[in-house]
Amino acid sequence: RVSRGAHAAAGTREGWKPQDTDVTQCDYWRHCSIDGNICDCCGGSLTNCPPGTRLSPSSWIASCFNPGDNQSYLIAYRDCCGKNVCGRCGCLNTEGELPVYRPEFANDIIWCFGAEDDAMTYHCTISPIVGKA
Amino acid sequence: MEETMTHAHNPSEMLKRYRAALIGGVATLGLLAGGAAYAQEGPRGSELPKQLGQEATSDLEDNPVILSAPEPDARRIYVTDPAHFAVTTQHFTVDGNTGKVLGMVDGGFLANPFASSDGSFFGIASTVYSRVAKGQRDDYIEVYDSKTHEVIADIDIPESRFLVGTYPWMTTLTPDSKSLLFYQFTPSPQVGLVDIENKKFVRMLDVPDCYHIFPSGNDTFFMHCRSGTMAKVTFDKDGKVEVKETEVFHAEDEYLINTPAFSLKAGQIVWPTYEGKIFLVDISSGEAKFGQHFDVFTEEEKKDNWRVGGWLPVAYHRGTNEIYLLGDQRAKWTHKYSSRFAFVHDAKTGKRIRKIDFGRDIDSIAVSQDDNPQLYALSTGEKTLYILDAATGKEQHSVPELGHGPQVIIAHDN
Repeated sequence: RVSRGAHAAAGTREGWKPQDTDVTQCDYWRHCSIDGNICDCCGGSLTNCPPGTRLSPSSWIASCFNPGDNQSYLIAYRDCCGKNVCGRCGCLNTEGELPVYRPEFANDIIWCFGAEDDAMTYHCTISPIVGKA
Repeated sequence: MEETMTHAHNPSEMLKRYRAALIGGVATLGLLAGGAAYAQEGPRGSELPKQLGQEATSDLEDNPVILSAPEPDARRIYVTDPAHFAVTTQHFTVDGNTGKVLGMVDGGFLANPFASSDGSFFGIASTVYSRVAKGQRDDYIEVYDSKTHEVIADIDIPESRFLVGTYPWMTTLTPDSKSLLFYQFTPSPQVGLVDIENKKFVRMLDVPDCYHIFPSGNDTFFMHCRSGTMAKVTFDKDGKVEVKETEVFHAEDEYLINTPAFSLKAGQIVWPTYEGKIFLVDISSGEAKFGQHFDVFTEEEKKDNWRVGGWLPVAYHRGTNEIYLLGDQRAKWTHKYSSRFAFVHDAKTGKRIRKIDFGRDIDSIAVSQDDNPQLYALSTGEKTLYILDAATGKEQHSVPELGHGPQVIIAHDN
């Protein structure tokens, strides 16, 4: 969603170089396939939704490499829904991201399915770990 | 309130005197009359402010009117700004000949544009909520006259639109422009059938685990399935659906991008992979025929990391059978980032004809279908559309300030 240059920390053609110190930056290792906005910048945290939003139980996934322990982990990107787009810390990363006909790895989809109150508008995304990849 | 305002110098009295001096007491009478109407009907918020009197609506020496856009030609395009997932979006009508914005329409969340092949109308499939981003969801199809931009049909549909970054071929008109088909992802894959001519939703059609909608006839469309096949879907208005799948035409690890080029008039789908392999699917006969696929990048270029990248990275000119593909030197898995180059290949031979250097980051391209085509190159980051001569790459116009994150270009003459 975020074009190169549109955001200081957005991805570039040079490729993915993850860090493990700042969760508000697009290159934080767990954000390797995030599309949208980092919830930590919107009143949420790395793994929790901001006040007043609705947490989706569904997600797309990616295998992200953690440079801190040299392990890869499966991240389930869950959206926080029911508010207009947060607008802060916009990121688009596409490590291992597949087209829409492989939806479990596709990140253009609004992954708000199953959120309370049928909330389907996109606010931000969290990056919780499912397990080791 | 009135009983308390007996003091000659209270602010309300001063304001009344000022108004009386300014417009001869008309405002005071207006306020009283307005108060009576208020009590009976409640405010509408759109009435003339009576406190301003006739000054607000005085005669002019100029004669302002509401303009119409000119008759659309092959260089009429529509640019959609999904605004980075915002709940309202804008859709800009642009004249490629002049580089002028001719008009706009408003859309809701991730509205999906479409345009009739004869150019007479265009529209959006849209979603709004009763309280900005929450509350009651309402999905609808809005159709506009391509000159006046007035709404000519507003059709309610079930709240079933697939909310996704805008892919042009998820909402598609049939060749006769009388029906519209839109994709549903959840709870199961279906395609919604809308009768544009009679302005009503017809029904949802059950389809297999397949994506995108490419009509080949007024009762037939093709989809691309998870298994790597194309599905031919034939339907009638009673909801009877027949599905026939082709053989698998690409490998599981050949990733076909979300935004192929499709010429409705030629029945040609041009479908690149992340690595620049072009699959051609010809549906003009009513059956899916697979052409000779080819690689845009040479072995040497592949070693130098040339790959496809962008949002709409491919365009097709049906008159010359030319394919335009955005590419750049890039790491693997950077397939949605912009490119600085377009590679032009002959669809029949696969041979490269030319390479265009934009000198800037471009996210989406399209090409007009006339004899001296224009190449439209949209930069999401710059929010600017560049209009180039498709043969020489020379810039003819640039159209800046296209919303927050413009990504999609569509035309009627595809």
